[in-house]
Amino acid sequence: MAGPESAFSRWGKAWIFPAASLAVWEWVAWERWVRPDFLPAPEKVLATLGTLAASGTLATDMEASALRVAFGCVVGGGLGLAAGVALSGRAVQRLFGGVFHGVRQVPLVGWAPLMVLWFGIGEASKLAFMAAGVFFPVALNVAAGLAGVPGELRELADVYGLSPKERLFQVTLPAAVPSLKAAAIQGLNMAWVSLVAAEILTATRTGIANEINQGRSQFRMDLVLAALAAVTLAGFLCQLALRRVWEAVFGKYSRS
Amino acid sequence: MNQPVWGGAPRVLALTSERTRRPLDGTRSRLDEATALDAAVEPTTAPPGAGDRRKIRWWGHPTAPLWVPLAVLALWQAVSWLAWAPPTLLPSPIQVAEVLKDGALDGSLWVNLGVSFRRVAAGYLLGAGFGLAFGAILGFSAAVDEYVGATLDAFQQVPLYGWIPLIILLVGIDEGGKIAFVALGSFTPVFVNAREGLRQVDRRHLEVAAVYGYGRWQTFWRVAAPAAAPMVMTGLRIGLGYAWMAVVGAELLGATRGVGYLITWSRMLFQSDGVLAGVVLVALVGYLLDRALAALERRISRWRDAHGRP
Repeated sequence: MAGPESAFSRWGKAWIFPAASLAVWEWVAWERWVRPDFLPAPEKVLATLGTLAASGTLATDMEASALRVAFGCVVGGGLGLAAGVALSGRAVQRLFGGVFHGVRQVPLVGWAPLMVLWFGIGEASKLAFMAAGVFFPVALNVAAGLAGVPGELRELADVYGLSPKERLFQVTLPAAVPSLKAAAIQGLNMAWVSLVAAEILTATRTGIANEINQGRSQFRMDLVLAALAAVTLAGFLCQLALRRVWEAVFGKYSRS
Repeated sequence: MNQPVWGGAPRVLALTSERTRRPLDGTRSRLDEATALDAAVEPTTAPPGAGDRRKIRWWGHPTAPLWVPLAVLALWQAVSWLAWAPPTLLPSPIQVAEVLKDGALDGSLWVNLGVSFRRVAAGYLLGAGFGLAFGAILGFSAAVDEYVGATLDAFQQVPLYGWIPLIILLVGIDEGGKIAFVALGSFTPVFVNAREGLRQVDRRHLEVAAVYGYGRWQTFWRVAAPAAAPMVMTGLRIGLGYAWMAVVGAELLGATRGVGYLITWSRMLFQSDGVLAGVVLVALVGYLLDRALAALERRISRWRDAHGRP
């Protein structure tokens, strides 16, 4: 029974619920059972998105947001990678682990007032906030992956007398690749979560999540929904791209 | 009498790396930060030189994990004594501790903590309840999952804080909006882990249940739910952390009471020691909540081990 059931019917099933929800939404909006400023019709949201795109606002916003995400990923990810590598060593872990895990307890939103305190309400505090958001999941996963290389494999590497380079590419990396992948995925995910938090929690005039806030202050639900959809889609596409690139670069390590 | 709690804060935080926990395997959701942490912490839990016959290193000293945190605290205090950094930017640890002490003594701290806790409790009950229900249905019934699973997955792609403006428009910024946001924050990890935990139940066990003539209800409660319990607990733990984060975030945006409000209020008055004290308090409470649920999780795992693992 499961055999002839094609991928199409599985996809079809997945679409029934969203399609029905959309129809109900359209119907409710059409009959005006809910005030239109509370629940705009789907095509109104789409039209708002179109207007944003046509006026160039969407491109400007996306550019500002993408730059912030890129900064968070490069600086936060780079520092996280360095810290993760350092913390995978037993001496560093034993000495600095306490400070790292102590500071790690500060939840993402806790960083927002601190960053504003230290870097002002301008762009610098947002960038620092983003870097902090990306830093912790990357450092954690990298440290876990590198420290988690099985002892037997290390002993085997000792027995074979592998050079440090051989050891890195033949033992450490293959064993750590799943954790490194988790570091990359969680780091990128955190970058978008921090972006939205930064643009909503601290006053800003640019960025795509700022449009969500604008929509709220102007009581324009269509703008809120359109911008929310845009930022969600952008984050999702980034994740897809990351998975593609990861598979291309490290795919050979994960298939063993 | 509450003072030692605050005085002991940095030490408690420093010892986090020393705790021993067995990592739960099989968690493959993108929310398994907690599991990654446990794996990262693992190496310290074994005394140095225990497994291998290498000689004891200087950093293997029993007090070694305390050296750097104490040095950081000392340096931090020294910075303010020597006036290297203006106190408006970096108040000293003693100042921060005094803010917490004053707040604890005059009761303002407990009142605001209580307000935040009530919001977390209401939102978490809602969010975790729905998360458990949805996770149970979708994880146990592949048929339902085929119809609504992808839609729920799509909704989880929305960054958490993006919901705030939407909720403010729909529900308002007052109590209801905050509780709704907390519920939304705790829903995702509970739902994801419950669904994944039930999906990973050993097929053979379900077949045995079928042989014994168990009905759906009986199979769920006596076979599937116990097997999924550890992962469900992890989800509940991460969900509580998210709920705590969500309430602070919501209170930072607009509140007249609560822990997040303490931070906002201090920032408005440019009292940096108050801001820092608030952040420390948030981190400490988040940590204690996590530890409390982790202890519960261990109990449940032990119960499971007593019944034997496959």
